[in-house]
Amino acid sequence: MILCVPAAGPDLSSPVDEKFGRCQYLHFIETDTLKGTYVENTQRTGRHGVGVQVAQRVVDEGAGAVICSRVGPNAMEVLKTGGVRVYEGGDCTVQEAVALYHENRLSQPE
Amino acid sequence: MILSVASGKGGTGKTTLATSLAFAMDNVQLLDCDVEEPNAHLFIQPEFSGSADATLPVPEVDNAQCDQCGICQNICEFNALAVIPSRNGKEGGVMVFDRLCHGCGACSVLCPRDAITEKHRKIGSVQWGTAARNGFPRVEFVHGTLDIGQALAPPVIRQVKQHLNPEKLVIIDAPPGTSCPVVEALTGSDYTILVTEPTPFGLHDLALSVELLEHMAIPYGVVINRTENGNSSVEEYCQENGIEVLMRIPYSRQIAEAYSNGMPFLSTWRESKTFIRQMIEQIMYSGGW
Repeated sequence: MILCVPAAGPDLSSPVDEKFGRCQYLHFIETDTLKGTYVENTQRTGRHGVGVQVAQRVVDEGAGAVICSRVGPNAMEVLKTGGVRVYEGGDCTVQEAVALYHENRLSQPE
Repeated sequence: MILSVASGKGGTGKTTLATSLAFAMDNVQLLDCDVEEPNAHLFIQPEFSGSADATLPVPEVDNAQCDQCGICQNICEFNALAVIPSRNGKEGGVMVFDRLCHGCGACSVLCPRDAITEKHRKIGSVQWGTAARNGFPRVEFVHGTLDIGQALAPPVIRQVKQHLNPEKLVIIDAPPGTSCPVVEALTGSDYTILVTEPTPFGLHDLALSVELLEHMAIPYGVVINRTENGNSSVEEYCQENGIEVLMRIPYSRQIAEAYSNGMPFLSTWRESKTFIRQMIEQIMYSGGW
């Protein structure tokens, strides 16, 4: 499965960005192989519907889950409808967040 | 002739001037385009004879027709649409976020499968009627009200302006500022009166309005309100930039009291009717009307 982690930088040691739509980078990590790619989030300075557009991107990438604690209501709706699970997480690096996912230590918001 | 009354800063006296203007002239139609907080009716006191919903066309997608091509999502300037692809046996479709939609209609025009139709979402209302206040000439009146919680004033303003009667002297009471609602209200005006006050704020926001009107290529002049309650910077600014000061409204307790009683200053400031008529004559003369 592909796991999406919004982050403040391009490295796996970058801190997780807890703002979903306006994060700096989006990491896409294959959970079986731990291989990943990242993209800069060029939408983040947009004025309208940024969350919707970033969620669309995540759905298009075929991600099965996102680790992010602050997802807006519109983006949340898109993710849910697109079959993307959302886990809370933030105060750690991308690498640590992936490890927490593997250890089943992330919770899903209500 | 379409004459708009605008101001960069709020609370400088747009409505005060617009309503006195309406009652000082003959054969007037007043359009209150400050749909976020319309208040000209408090002074005009019209009897409303009709009303209509102000609506915005928003897309409605027939997901049975949709093949999730994504054209609608790509064209949407405001990201009001998300396209969920069919995956793992689950049917996909288009999600519409009504509140982000500005009603441009591009998605429904471009949909290659004609899966998008438009429905009308209510965002406000428009009311119209006539004022016949004692001692004042009759005034045709229209105003719009944006519903609470809605963000898009321009479509409501557009729908107010659909009632514009070219047979009349049309006075448009514009919203404050220099953003989209103001542009919408001023578009099509033959002349704009900028109301300001002689304070640093008044001057700062007057300069913004001047920039806007230069850009829109609408002729304009300035009315200074509460003249004795400030400094000379606005007068100096107008002189330096060759902007005509059309009228000066004194800083007066009587005018403020009239205002608080819903009376146009015309009723307490005797000379004002003459001043207003001279001002309009001057505007019409300079514009060749």
